[in-house]
Amino acid sequence: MPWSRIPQSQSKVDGDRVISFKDSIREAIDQAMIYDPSVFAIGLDADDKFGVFGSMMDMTHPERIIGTPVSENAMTGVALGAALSGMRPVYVHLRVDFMMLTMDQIVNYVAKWRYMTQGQVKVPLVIRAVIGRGWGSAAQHSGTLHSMFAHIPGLKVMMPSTPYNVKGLFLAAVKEDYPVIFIEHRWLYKNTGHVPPEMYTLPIGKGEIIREGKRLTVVATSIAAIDALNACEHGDLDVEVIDPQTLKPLDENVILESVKKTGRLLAVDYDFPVCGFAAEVCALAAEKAFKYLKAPVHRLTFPESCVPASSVLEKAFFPSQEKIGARIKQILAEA
Amino acid sequence: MAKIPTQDWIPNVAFFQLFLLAFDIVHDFQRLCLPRSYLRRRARAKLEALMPVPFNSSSPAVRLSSLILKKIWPHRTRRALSPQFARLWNWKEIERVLMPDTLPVTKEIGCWLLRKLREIRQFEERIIPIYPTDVMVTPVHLHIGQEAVPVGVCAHLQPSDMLFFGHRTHGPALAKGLDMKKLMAELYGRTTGSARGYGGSMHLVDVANGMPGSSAIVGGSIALGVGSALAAKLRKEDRIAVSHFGDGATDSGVFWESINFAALRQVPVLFVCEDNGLSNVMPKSAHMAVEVEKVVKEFMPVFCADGTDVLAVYGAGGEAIAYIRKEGKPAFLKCLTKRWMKHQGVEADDLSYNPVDRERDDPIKKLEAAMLEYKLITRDEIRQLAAEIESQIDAAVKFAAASPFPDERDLAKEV
Repeated sequence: MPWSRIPQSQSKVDGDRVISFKDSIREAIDQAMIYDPSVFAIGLDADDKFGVFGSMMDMTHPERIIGTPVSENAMTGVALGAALSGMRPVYVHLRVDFMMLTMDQIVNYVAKWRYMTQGQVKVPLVIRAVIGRGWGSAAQHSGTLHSMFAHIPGLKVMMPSTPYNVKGLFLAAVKEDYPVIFIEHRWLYKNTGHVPPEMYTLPIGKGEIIREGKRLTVVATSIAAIDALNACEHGDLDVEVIDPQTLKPLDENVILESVKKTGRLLAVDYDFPVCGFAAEVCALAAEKAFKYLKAPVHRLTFPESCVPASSVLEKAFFPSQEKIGARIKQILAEA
Repeated sequence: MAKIPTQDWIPNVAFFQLFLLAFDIVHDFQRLCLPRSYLRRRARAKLEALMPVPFNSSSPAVRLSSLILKKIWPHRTRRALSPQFARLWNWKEIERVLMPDTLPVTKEIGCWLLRKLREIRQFEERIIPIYPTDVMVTPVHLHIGQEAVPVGVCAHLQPSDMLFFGHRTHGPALAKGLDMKKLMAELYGRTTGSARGYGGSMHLVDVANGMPGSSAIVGGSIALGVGSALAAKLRKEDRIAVSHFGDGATDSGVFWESINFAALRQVPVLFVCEDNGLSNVMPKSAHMAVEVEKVVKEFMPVFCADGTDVLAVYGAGGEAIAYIRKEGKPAFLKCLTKRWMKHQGVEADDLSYNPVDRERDDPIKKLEAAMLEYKLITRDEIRQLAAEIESQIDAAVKFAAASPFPDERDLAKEV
């Protein structure tokens, strides 16, 4: 099926249809499966009517949705084997934490296969995973871990933040002949926005300036980008907010250009701090825009701790719109 | 006393005798997973008990009577049994014993098997002296002694059938059709290698011959075979997938996950367990509590063969693959074999618990002896074949040594 025929869409607002993030990803999967018979979905509870938080509901081709046993490691191998044999599998995980069971397959097989065979074999595989959080989900159901995947050569990592992005990026991921880790935040599912009804893709590795400003650059992914945007809007701050959308390949130019303009950087990442994505963004600025920096770079991440269950501790653990706003004000006050 | 009780008992006793006989047969069937050589001995013993004269006698009269017996008796009995029981009873083996003047292969197939066995053996024997000179800077896991397993299986495969294998790559790759030159060049790390020098000994690839890559993490590639078979089923393609692995891999979780999923989804995949009784240097008794096929037979049909006898593997593999192609369901083939060399490197194995009899356990000698006995080949032809393969290997070494190394600038190509 010629995926090249799917148009690449750049404009933000195409039409006036407003749907939720969940419906947008559901529609993207459904359209991909209708468009290309080699696309199929596989995963724990993928074939359940309410599986994957409603994002797999009422598909047109239920025969190509395969529910699996709790055998994540082998099932990733199965998806890879199918990808090597001409299929375009979409592996779905209810929680990104469950992907830790498949790290052998993801790191040793999926990521390396194309390199080991020098492109003689293509690996068109998308692995979707949902980030959970809140309501006492605690240490084993609230992981984010995207930095871990971005660390591995051979994997592309996407973290869409809006209903428009999620459809365009998902279809771009399915179209790619490379493995893609596609991470969705559970709290984004209810958000709504403009989504064109037809199929379209977004360019991979292209960041987006979601708010213009002059005094500080905030780089934030997924729900953190939405929180940062809201914090700036709420406080009417003169801050530029960048949503990279794909962690790897990272759009370095959009970040560097912004840092050159503002001279200050705050990297917001809802993940652990050490060797994380926020550290990567800061390193990028230090390496390639050092002489433009007017102040040390800043990071806002999870504390170096596991996720607690009790709501008091949970509130203290997770960054939020208020915390981002306070941190931005603090940085701007120091300026 | 209207009735005499004994009159009623007579049919009951007859029924009881029949029941005992049936029990005996079922009991025998339960030994299905035992090595083929054991089954053959049992079959011989049973037939000898049935027949007044030894059935393997060369006397024409005896042969004729054997032939008649084969024509009449087993056929009827076979029809009375379910197909599954007939498979387990292994009638082909009994027929082969009854008809000692034929081999289960034609001259053409026999020669192909011998050529492949010798290609693998002679190729690897050439590696042994070259390896210490460090022109091949890649860990090699030699396949010497175990050649019969991939050769016997691959004899039934088409190029479109996908083969996935582990770190001991050279045997399966050559058997499935990888060009010797490409293999040698890959070992030399040259651009003309199967993976253009990026893979080394453990990561061979040949898409045209149904080998989309091999993996060196024990166990993982088993799942890839299942995935490939799932793709064949979803696309309704007329092909199968084969996962080739060793007994060590059966300890891994991914093996059991794959077996379960293949049986759940009924995908056309053949699991080939090349059981050399060693997991690196660990004997099977130390790493496996139960023989794996005893459990796997609950999931799918299990076929067993002597992994040092290519004709046995060819027979059992053929039955298994015919079953998969016909039914579209998974099957498991277990082959007991012997590892002659160390797990890695080019030295002979010296583990006390892995005694190797290079005369008795040699698949090449076994096949050559059988083919000579049944006059499918002459000693001259064997010598000619060996010389031909040797010159092919010479050409491969020359080709590899003359090929260019990859460019440093291409280091991150296709990441």
